[in-house]
Amino acid sequence: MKTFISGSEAIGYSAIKGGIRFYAGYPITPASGIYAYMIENLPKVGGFAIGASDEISAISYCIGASMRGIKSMTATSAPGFSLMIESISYALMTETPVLIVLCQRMGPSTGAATTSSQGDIFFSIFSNSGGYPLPLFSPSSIKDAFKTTIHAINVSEILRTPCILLTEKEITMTYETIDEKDIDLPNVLERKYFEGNDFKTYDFKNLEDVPLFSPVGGKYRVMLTGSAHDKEGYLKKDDPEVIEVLKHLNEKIVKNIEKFNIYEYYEGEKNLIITYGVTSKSAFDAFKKLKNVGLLIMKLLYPVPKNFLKEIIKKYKKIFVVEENLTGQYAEILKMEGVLNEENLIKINKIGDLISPSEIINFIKENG
Amino acid sequence: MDRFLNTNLKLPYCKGCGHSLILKALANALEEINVDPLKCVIVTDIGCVGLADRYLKTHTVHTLHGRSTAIAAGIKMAENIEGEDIKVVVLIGDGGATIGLLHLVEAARMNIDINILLHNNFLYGMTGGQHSSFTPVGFKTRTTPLGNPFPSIDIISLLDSVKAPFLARTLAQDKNLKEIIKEAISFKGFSLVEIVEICTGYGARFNKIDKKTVEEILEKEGKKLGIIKKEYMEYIFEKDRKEYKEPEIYFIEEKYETDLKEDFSILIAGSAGEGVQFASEILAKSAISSGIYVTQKNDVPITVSSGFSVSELKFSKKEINYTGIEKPDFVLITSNDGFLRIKEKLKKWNTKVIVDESIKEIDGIKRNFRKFQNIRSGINISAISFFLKINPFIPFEAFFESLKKYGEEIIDVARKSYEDEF
Repeated sequence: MKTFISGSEAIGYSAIKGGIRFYAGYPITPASGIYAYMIENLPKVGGFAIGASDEISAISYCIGASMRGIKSMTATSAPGFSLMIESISYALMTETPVLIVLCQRMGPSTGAATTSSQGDIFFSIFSNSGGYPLPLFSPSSIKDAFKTTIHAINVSEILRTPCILLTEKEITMTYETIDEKDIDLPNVLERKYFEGNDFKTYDFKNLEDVPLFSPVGGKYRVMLTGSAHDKEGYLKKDDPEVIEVLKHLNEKIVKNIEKFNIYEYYEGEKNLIITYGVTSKSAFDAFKKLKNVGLLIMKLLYPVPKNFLKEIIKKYKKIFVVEENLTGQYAEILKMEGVLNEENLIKINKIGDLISPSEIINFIKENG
Repeated sequence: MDRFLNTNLKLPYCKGCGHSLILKALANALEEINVDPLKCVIVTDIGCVGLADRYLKTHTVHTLHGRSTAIAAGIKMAENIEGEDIKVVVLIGDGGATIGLLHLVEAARMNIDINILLHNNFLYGMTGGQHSSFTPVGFKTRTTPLGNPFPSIDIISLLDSVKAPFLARTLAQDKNLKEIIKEAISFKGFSLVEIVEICTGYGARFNKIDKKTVEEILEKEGKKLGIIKKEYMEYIFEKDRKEYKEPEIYFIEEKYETDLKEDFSILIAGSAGEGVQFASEILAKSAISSGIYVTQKNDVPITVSSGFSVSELKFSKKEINYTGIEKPDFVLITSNDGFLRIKEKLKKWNTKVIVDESIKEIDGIKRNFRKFQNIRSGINISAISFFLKINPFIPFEAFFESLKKYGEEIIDVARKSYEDEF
């Protein structure tokens, strides 16, 4: 049997299956479908969904609920994400898991609310003060959203960090036919709780360790703070332990992320297409018609799994990075990280509409 | 006091600052109502008020500027899932209340069971004595050297207007401070106590100020002292757990057959609010019930019930990846809005067009779909039914069945249009 389902419904469904029990939202195209789904379905599993007065309240409610151990989530697009940024940094600093679904639409500011885009790569990667990384995942289709949504929640919980699920209007507001047998939900992973003596809110041995969690209102006294702090949570400044905690916040993500890498790879010979998100679908159609070309669909976008990528691309001559934005943002990230360089990188970009398979095919035929 | 406050540590506040008095009164109040410190979360805002965490023995959450109330609300809302009732107290200054005013309004409006202790010393103390929205008229601060010209926020009146159930105002030096805090914390529901105090560092530097002048300021501003309002209100988010039900995916039974040989696409262009997306969805579902893969990509302006609405549908016996349409095989135009939207592209496409007869500018197969405009989604259901007559790639019964639950009237539209009875 088959279903006819939108990306919003697939994300909402898998979020609940992935253990999300708290949702706070504010209406914004193209994320409103997720909000509607959660309001309708969360109470039925004993969860709680609420409309907030703005995106700052929405993310703050989520953070508060997550501090009590409830898996929390919100969804928005760039204007709302702009309002959330300060609080996302706060979640990062307090090591509070929360999933933020960022549904991309075109352009800066209010932009074009009902036009798809992949223009918020830089925006989501570089949204934190201090230069700290947030895991960034992007589902490649509605079918894949079932998997990648749960995976992003898992990573958020296991690494005690806010995570971004980056998607597009053409995923959330488009409907597709999906075969029952293709709906494949990954295992749900849980936050690790502290048990024992001498609890410290932010305790770790090695810099990359994830502190064991205890909820506020629970049996160990918790001290959460967005200010620079030591392992116990005391606000401090000139203390070596504070610097250690700040290094830990970075290493916890970058040292652990590679094992949470998800992707689809179809081997080719001469050249390789790298893509992500909704553009993966066009790229897949193009890949099937092209000869000598491999295809790599990335679902973990950031931090960049450098070792993995370098290993894959070394056999290819040219790397075509296909994405629906003006300047090739993901390509630039891969260049910045030393995965690609001026010699092997060729960008395929467009805004205003989905990049079609024939556009990819023609471009590669001319430039391959 | 020792159960809640680490009395071995010297509090960090300036000599004579009300913050010390409030923190001690809070610790005593909590002790007297006999709550477990580990069943209590104190959420502190930014400012001098936010230095309190390390002295407390409860759980503490030190937040961003202004967000303390919203984080506290989230902590409390989680109880609707988790169940256990804990005390949540917010320590916020007049600066935090200014930048986070909407969070206070919302928490009050929703009657979230948290207690707010608003430390109002008329200015931003930690950053050097700048004015806030709570600075009284005429009060001098570093940023209002000639005296603040604007009226101050009356938080009690403001929150009363959104039906906050417990509201009180007192001075930090008042003897009944602890009792008022005790009553507020014991109250089931949202409570706010505005505690007016003097910033000895900056308030007293720029103004001649003592307890008496503070009382005069409040009187001049019409701000009363004491418990101003205490009316128990039903907590809004009482647990409402009906039957437990996991989310479901609705699968479509494949009971029809198709003679679809080649993939094709159609584009339906009409007016928003006239059921373009709905009619497309019905067609999609009926095709799925005939064993076909369908995608539906929608294009609308920002408005909901005005302007164009366009749906693009692709049909294939195999799974579809790219959902866009470079050149549709069929175009259905059901209104002038829809026509204007695709007019330019239409010239390039050179494709089969089925169009409402009201649109004179183009050629195509014409019918009067708009005669069904008084029936909800009638126009577009009519156009699609007629399309199925011309291109019967699925049995009409499949379409009919997907439409069945929407009532006799719309089924009648479908039947007439399919029979070409316009």
